[in-house]
Amino acid sequence: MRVRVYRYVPEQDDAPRMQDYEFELPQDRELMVLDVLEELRLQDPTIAYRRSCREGVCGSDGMNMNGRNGLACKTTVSSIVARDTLTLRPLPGLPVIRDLVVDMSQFYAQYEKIDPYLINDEEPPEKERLQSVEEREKLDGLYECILCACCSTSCPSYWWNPDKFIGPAGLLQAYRFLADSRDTATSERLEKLGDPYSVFRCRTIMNCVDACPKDLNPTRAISKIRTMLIEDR
Amino acid sequence: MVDRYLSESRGSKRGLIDFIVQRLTAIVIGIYVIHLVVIFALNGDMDYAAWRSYFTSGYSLLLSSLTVLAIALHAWIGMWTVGTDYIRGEGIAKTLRLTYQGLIGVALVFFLIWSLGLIWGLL
Repeated sequence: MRVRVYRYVPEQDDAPRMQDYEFELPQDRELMVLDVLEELRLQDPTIAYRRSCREGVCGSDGMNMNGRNGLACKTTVSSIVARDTLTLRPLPGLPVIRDLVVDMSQFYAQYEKIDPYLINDEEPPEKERLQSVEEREKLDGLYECILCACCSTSCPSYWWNPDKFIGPAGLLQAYRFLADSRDTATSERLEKLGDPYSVFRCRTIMNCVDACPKDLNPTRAISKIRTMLIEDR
Repeated sequence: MVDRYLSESRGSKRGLIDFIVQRLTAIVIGIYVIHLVVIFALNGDMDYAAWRSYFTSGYSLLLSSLTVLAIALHAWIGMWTVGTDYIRGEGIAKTLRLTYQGLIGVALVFFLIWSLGLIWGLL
């Protein structure tokens, strides 16, 4: 198998280039894309990428594999390889720091914008704020996000307006706090979302749903935010 | 950048209003198209006189006027959005974007007035 890796060190190179490596796939077992990268790094220790837990929990190794965003550690080579070639690029739309490592500052700034924490101005109870089973169930499919940025960087609206459109990852989290029965800042949260970009730049093309390695549905969360905005008027 | 936009946009409802207007106008346009199909299906052999009498009847004048207004509003929101997606940034890009928006606006107002003139038989 041929592995094509995006190589770019902005301080040294004039332009990015693709470097080819030959890789012998073992016949007796399935490899993840991250396994291939780890092997390649033994051949060429200059390849840069992020990784940590290697089991789809930390969200460090989001990258673009044969044109699709995903986590290298939980994407099998056989599911993605085409014409005996595996092409690895950084997540699209974010500034490249080195090779497959991108600068996530703007992505995190959008996350920060939605106030990703519980706001409650009521008197704290003696022990804890309890939720009913139904209230807790509303958070399923929302709290699992690991902020790997696979969804936001697969979204054309986020590519065009990364400074104004919050993006699917941030909006999924926005709804996670809007839907939380323990949060009392619903109106203040919605006040930040009614402009033409923050939420409404979503055109419901559902690339985010397709990309999400955790099988979450940011598009549904966004449509629920829209409904809340309409009801809040 | 993100913070600056947040301080500018907080409390704005324009996105929400655009969203609602775009859907309402789509419904109006949809109703008009269905209504035309039904009229033509029920009256297969309409001659000039029949056409004229139908399209000068009171409710038809109103529905046609409402529809061209809906098309203009719908097109403005759509074209404004396309412009702010593809022509981004300050400086020359901003000049280009404002020129584009101006041209779209002028064209839509022109077509609106023209269409209304035709519908009401003033032109």
